[in-house]
Amino acid sequence: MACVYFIGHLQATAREYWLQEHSSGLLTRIFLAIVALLFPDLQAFNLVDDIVAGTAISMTVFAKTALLGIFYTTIYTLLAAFVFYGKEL
Amino acid sequence: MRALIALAILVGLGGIKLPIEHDLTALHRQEHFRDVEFNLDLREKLGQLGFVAALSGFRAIVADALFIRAHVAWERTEWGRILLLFRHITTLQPRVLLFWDTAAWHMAWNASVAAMNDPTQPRLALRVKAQREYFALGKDFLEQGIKNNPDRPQLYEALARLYKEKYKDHQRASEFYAKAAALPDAPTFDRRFSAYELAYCEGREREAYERLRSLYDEGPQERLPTLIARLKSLEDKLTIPQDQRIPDKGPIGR
Repeated sequence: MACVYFIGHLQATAREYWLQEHSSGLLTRIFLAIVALLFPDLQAFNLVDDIVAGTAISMTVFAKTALLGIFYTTIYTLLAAFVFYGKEL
Repeated sequence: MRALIALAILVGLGGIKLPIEHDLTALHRQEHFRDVEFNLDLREKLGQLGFVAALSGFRAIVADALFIRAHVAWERTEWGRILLLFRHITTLQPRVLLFWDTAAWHMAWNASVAAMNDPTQPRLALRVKAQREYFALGKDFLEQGIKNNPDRPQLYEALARLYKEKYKDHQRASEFYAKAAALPDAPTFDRRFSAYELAYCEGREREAYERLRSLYDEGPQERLPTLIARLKSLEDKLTIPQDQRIPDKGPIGR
């Protein structure tokens, strides 16, 4: 779980690198693609550092971030339910 | 089997979420969120634990802890350490004005005076050189701070103060007070301070007079003692005709 948490915070870096950088090797690009596609971007929710600095959050940012949160929660919960459905715990 | 299907769905949905995430990141950057670049340089500066903490959403806490360390370093007058710590702090929290302002104050005001009064350096020329270097460091912090916060007037004011008090460069001071005054939420004194500084610039007295006079004409709230004193001094210097001068006992709007 802790690894997913840290990878989630790095996902944005991996995604940006994957989408912009074209000179890296094939293996690196595959690795970056896996990180970008499978993991959620947890940095998107990390707004507290800027809020304490006095940066105001616009309604657009709030709404889009909330929608992304709902999207992640729905998808990952449904997939978890699908994988664990019928398993004897 | 179920796990493989889930993985395939996840990859498929990943393709859908990528543009949404990319769009949100662009929006965050546009609104000055996520200004910190997590790269190897920052990793080296912060150490492994600090970097991990900063990465996992504790950037503000790491910066605050470093700020406390910087305060301790200040108590011990370890100027090099203060510089290093404030570079880390401002890298982590580029939108906190207090950090930029304090960093510049330590360098341009405290460290520069310490360098000038350094008992271990008998040569005045070297002490003056060290002092100028600390001024430059303070200026650099403020310039970087302004780059990161171009929409807030406080750092423009701090840079104007630095030009005025340390470099005795009234023209630049006036320019930065004017830049601060042009921003929304700028205090009203910025306009006055810009004109005061201009009044000290050789060859720009006429412009300064016109600006001060225009402030004076705005009403009693602007007719403060310093403004009146500067205006009277310029009236004498520019030999303004008696009938165009302000009255001797002008109302002070306080």
